[in-house]
Amino acid sequence: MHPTVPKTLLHIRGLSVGFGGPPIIEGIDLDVGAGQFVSLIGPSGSGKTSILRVVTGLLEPLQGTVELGVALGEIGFLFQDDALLPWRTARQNVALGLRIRDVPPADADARADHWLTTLGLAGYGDRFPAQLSGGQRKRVAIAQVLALRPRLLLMDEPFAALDAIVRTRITQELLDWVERDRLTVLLVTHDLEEAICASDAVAVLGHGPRAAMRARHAVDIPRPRDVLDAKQHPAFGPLLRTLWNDLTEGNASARAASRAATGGTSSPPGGTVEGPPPPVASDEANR
Amino acid sequence: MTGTTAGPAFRRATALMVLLAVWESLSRIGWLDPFYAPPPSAVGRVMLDLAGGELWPHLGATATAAIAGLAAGLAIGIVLGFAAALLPRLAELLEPVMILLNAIPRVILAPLFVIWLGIGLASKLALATILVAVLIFFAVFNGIKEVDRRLVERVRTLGGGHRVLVREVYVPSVTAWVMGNFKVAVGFAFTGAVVGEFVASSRGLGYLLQFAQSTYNAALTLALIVIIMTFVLLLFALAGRLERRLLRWRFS
Repeated sequence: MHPTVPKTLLHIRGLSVGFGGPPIIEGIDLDVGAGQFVSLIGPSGSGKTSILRVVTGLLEPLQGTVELGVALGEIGFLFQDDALLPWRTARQNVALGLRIRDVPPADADARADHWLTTLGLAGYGDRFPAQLSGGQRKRVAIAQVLALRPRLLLMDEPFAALDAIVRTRITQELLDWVERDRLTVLLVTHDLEEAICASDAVAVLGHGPRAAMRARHAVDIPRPRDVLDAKQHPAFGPLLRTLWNDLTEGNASARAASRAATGGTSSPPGGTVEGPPPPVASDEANR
Repeated sequence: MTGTTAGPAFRRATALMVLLAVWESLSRIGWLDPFYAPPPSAVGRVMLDLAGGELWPHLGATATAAIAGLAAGLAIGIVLGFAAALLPRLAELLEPVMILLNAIPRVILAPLFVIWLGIGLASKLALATILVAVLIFFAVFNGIKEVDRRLVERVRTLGGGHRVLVREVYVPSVTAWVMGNFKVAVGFAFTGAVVGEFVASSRGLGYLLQFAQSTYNAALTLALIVIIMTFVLLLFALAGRLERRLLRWRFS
């Protein structure tokens, strides 16, 4: 499907996930190439998070395969909430993954302090999560994941709970890290602007149940990027419009489908019947 | 207990002093019958007498039964709670028994323990132990069942296996639950020891209380009640310090 991508770190084929009822996602294909930043957007409840959970082994799929170009231990998972171990200090929380990998305690602590400093939390190592602000906890959670030097970073709406200023700042910091280390990233978000500013490609998931992959668009904005400048780039506006159409068209057809399913006499006005999916732009252009 | 600032502690002490003064005055002017309600000064004299020597072996016996019962009850409750939470088969066996034991006033087992174990320390220890063990069992069992799933997932995605999960998530989570019940457990342990001594014994504060009651000695009864209260409050203070130390991550 993407012959020019040198190596695919994440290769998902025919993935279906369900919790008893009809599958919430069905037949999902998704590739993330080495060094690529892919965002996955879609309506809430469409099963975006489930895809990440399957990749990390937290969830068993109904069907489909996930091929990883990295070991499970090389995956970093940044969760939506910032649940740190409340009984461990910031330093202990960051060092936890290192300790699990049998890094000697003193070394793990030193590396934890280094990452805390890097993320602007120098001197906060001895604080417990209850003594930190939401933004600080999020930084600790990022440090916890980055300290393991993951080769594949999965993020589930990591900044949704933060206020706009903190959010923009942390997004920028993370972007700098990703670009510096050529990290491979799959970001789940419902923020279209965030998706465009951060990614090389944006994949759009349709409406559930039985949500399918709707489109995939390349982001033609050069790197390294500044989050705020990226929004001024000529490619930003048209892509935002395209993504918006992808998502709202999904809405309209879902409404039409549900109306048809309930046998309503008022047939939808012409033109909302789902046609062929919009052309999928190749995301190789900017690689 | 929580009078850490001078203001409330001072007001409470003053209120207590006023109460004692009123009680003493009412006794002195003859409105209270000293046979039923001996004045604080009389109770104080009895306490001093007791502290002169007679008290200590009895206090020692009760404290031994209570503290050993507390330790044994904690150990048994924690082990059984962990085992039941991790082994569903065992939970099926244990939970009904524990629910039954939890539902009844467990002090009714005291006569049975005397028949089984005699009137010595063992029957008091057993009663204190079972009072505490059932309480702690449920604290641990629920603590593990209601552990924050998000934390389990965090540790798993960081690569943590079963051992790491137990050390980093389950044990701290259970510690919080157990500490939340620790003061109640201290009270239960003393209840078990003293009630066990009521039923049949040759020493202990419960034995002294029994003796005071049978001789209609209200001053001795009140003195013993004050002594037991003081001792339990002392243990509460120690438990509070332990709690603040173990759960310091909660206090920001």
